[in-house]
Order: sequence, then C-alpha cells, then structure tokens
Amino acid sequence: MNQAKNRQELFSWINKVSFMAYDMALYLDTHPQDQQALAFFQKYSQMRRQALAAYAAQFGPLNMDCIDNDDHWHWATQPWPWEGGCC
Amino acid sequence: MHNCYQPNNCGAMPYTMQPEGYTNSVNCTCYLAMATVPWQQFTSSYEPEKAFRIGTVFPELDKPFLGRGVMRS
Repeated sequence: MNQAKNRQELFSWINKVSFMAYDMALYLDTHPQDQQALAFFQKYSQMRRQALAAYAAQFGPLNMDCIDNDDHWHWATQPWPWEGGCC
Repeated sequence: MHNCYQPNNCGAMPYTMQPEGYTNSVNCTCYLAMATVPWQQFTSSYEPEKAFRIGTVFPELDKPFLGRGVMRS
C-alpha cells in the first residue's frame, strides 16, 4: 500500500513537471530566443526525464524511452492500468 | 452567404469577407474593429502543483474563467 502511494505520487509528479515543460514549450514557440524561458524548459525537461527514469526503475516503463535494455520485456509483464498499474 | 454562424446570437460574430466587401445579410449588429494584443513576456511562473491545478504556468494568463462553473481549490 505504501508502495502504491509512492507510485501514485511519482506519477502525479511526472504529470506536473511534464506540464511545466509543455506549457513553456508553447511559450517558446513564439519566443524562441528567450533565454530565461529556455532555461526554465530545460530545468523541467530534465526533471521530467529523471522522474520518468525513477518511475521506470521502480515500477516499470511508462513509454518506450524508459525501456531498459535488459533481458526481460517489462512492458508486457508489469501490471496493466486496470490491474492498478497506472494512476 | 450568411455573415453570422449563429443568426440568433450574432452580436459579436465576424463579418465575412466577400468580393464586394463586408456584407450583413443576416441583419446582425456587427462592427469592424482593430485588436491589439500585448506581447507576452516571461517574468514569473507558478510552482508545479499550482500550475497543474490552474492550467497554466504563467500567472498573467491565470484568468477567472468561471462562467461554466470551473472548480478551483
């Protein structure tokens, strides 16, 4: 149960930092030279990658970029969303 | 060709450009106007929790769009 909560919190954090990066990406579409915005985007983009990697390490990959090159295809054997595998 | 997409509620609907100019065949009260929009400048941002809840990173775009009962806490 404790792990499930951590999983949900981590998933929620991924959504939030992803939103930060996506929303600033929209701003950068019209302000491509804004250095402050670029730094903001890079900060949250990196936080997103770290959170995705942390999630993948504990609970399995959320997308193809998070799939480790080991000897098991975790995508197929981790819990499905209807099995509590996603939030 | 109709100018307004909603003939019964077209007070703010645009005219349609036609070869002879702007016409008003639906008898709505539309007026030409020029709009100016200031260029957004990134100065501050919400923290992730609040930005995600509000729906924008930018405080200057956090408008009270509450006409349809949007829930905010």
